[in-house]
Amino acid sequence: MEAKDLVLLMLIPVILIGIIVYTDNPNITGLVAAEQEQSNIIGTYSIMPSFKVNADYSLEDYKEIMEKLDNAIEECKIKQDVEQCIKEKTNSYGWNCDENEAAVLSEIVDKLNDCTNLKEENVVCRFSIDEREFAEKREFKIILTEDYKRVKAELKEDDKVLATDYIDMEALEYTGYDNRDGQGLNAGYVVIEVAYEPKETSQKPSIRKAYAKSGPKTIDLSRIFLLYKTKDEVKFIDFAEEQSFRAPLPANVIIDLPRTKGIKFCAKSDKQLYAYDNSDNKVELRNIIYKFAVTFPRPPPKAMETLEAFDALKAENSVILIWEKSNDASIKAYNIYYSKKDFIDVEVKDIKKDEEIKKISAQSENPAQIDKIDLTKCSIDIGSPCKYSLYNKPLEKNRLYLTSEGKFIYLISDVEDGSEHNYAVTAVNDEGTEIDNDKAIEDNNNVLSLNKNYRKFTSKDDLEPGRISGLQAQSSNGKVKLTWDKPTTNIDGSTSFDIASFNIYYKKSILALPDKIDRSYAKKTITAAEANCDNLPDVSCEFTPDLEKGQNYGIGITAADEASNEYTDAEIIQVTVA
Amino acid sequence: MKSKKAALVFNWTLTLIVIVILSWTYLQFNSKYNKFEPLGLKQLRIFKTYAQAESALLYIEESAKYALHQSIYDLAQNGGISEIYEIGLDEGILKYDCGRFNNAYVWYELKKSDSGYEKSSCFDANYAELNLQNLFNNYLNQYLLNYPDNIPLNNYNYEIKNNIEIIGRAISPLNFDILKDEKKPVTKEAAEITIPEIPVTEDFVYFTGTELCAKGSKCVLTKEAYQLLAEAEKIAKQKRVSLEVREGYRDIDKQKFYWNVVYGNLPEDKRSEKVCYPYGEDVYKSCPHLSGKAVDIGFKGKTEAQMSNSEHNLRHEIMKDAGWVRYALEQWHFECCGTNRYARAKEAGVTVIV
Repeated sequence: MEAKDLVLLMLIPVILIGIIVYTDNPNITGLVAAEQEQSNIIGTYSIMPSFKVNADYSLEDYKEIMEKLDNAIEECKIKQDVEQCIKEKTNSYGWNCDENEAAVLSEIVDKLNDCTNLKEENVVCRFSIDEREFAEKREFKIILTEDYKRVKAELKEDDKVLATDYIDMEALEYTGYDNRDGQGLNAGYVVIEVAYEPKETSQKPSIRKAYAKSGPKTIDLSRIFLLYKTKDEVKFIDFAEEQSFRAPLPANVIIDLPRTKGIKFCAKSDKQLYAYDNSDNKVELRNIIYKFAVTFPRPPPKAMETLEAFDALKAENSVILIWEKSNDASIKAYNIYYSKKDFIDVEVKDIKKDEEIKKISAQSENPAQIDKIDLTKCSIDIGSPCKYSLYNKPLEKNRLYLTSEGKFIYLISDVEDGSEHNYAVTAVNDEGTEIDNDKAIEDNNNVLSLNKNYRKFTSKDDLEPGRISGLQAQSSNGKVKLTWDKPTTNIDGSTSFDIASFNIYYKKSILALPDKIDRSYAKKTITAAEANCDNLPDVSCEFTPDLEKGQNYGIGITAADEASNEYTDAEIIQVTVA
Repeated sequence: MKSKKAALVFNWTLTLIVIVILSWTYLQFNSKYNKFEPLGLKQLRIFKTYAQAESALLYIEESAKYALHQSIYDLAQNGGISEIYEIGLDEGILKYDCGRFNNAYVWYELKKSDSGYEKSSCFDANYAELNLQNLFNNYLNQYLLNYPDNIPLNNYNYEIKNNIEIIGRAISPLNFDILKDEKKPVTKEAAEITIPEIPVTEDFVYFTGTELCAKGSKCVLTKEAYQLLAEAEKIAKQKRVSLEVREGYRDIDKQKFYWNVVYGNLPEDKRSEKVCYPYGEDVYKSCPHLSGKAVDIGFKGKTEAQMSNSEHNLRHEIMKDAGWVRYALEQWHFECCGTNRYARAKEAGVTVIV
């Protein structure tokens, strides 16, 4: 190597050392950061994430559907069968819902909600299952679980979830009878098994099983009285104590459900969108379907057709009404209307306001039971009301009776004998609804009809006044003055207000005569006024008959009322006309 | 000969010296200029952040499309009704007045009257638009919660046009941090800010994206309230739970959104039980969320529906010990630092007040 090569070679490290030692350039071009920072964040990128999105759809559909529904309701609300009318009007729109399985769940949920939302407290809710048309036998399980302040209901068939819904219950609890108004027992989750038979079998659907599963414990629940409702909560009923809940008033009030009737509509639009539905757990192209409902009150119980009226035997101002018991479980009472005035065309709401028409409400939950009774025959013991044949007891007024043949009997005892009265009986359901008798509504079947639920009848007084008492005779100057007390009661022991006349029976006899008036006696009829005892509370009567001086007579006096009823059993006294 | 040997030794020595010098030089360069980045790396990061933002925007738009379809479909299934499922303390669900029949909302109730049947309307078709907005917003929120980045919820004012178009105008921006080193985890810290639009002079703390703030929520409180919140979190940690704020300071636009959209289908008397009336001169005094001294708070990992009674009680205990008072009708709402409700509670000597 030559010296110049060596010098050049040695210069390289010298130059490099010089660069390191003498250069100081921290500023590097190309920086974007706003400032030099020690943190990892060198800046922020901000955007406003506004968006615009559209779909082939219009909200005007709601207004159009509402308008159609509104028109249908306006046309139908004057009809008697609103439900049928609305169904007919909307059929042409194609608003039917094909949701048979989902409807099974909806029915149970609606009824449980109905019970939860009742205004009444301390009541038992009872319901049966509506019939549905299935081609073959179907068995479903409805599983209720708590879901924070709501209860989730799932409909399952063979462990497959077909529908889901929610009930307005805060917790799942069950109860026995004694602690029914106190705190309930935790039910865990509840299972209700429902079975539907094919429509050809005509068998009604039923709740096969209902039970609560709380930990390892399984508690059978009542399948008939499903829920007990207190002020704040509803509870299922332990099957072991179901019978106690059947007890009549005042132990339990049973409310039959549902109370709400309605129609559900599914208005299918031809518009389609991609959407998820939990019925099939998929996202796919689906039609938009508008689901909504219209509700109306339960119709009143049907108008009766079997009302009859009978005269109460050996009674005054009394009528017996008889009608057949209906199978409608919703009927809780019967309203009885009666008056001298004709009200067959008067609406029930006006009947209620009319003071000339009397009203009685007879509760039908717990009538007095009668095995047999013959209303055409009765036997009377003096001082007691007449006992009807076969029943061997009198009928009490203002009490509802039920015979073993399924007929209700009611005795009214404040009508006017001899005057035609009008009688009507209507059935009332647990919501207090009865027929309206509004004959302005087209095809209204909820009306009063003569000889069906409306009768005209005239009762008759066939009750004899009781015996007179205290009959005495004072003879002087060839005259005999008779004094007696008029009867204050009739022969059945009821107070007598209508003594109109007296029959004085007399015949000549020197011997004492038995207390029996027969045809051999002469009779003189005098009015109560002639006997000076026609004014209440005057009971002392007197009369001086024309009798032969010096003769001995047997004399007896009977009282007769305004209807000429006379009890001919009388005391006979011996009188000598001195 | 002797010179050849010497030259060889010299050459080898020189070579070794050069190697040592060059190595030392390399090391020096490395230590002095290890922060050197290739030119354009930061710009590249900006582009990346921009792409991240565009990705979020695309996600939002696609989510909005699916949310719209689903909300139209579900609204129709529900007969145009959007019920508010609010887990309140003394009330369950805010129920639709006319209820349902056979799993469908009732539009008309017919009631018997003296003159026949009377029709009572339960549904106003004009509310369908409001209900659609409400449902759409809920569904959109669900999509946004699933996005990995923190996208604010309930962040839109909606305009609906027929046939049908929804314009969602964002209230708050979407922010993306540009990072120096993407591999390093970013820990958000609370920072002091001022909010010039409110008529009170207070320091606020912005802690969106921190551990104390729920995903999708914008979290701002006054400094004093934030300190009490931090105290509450300390107490919570001792009890082995973690708090998250779902709502703190709420600006006036959002307050109006709640009033007009979220609860817009309720009558005003019921609506004012759920949300403060956002109009009037004293709105910043009367509406606690607008003051920045109120929080809607919960436990991390638990929705309100998932919380048991004992967890509700625990939350109340934690917040009470930290100096907060609770609104009696909402188990998640707490106030401090001189709000009207706080003052009334203190005067009454209680920690829960209507």
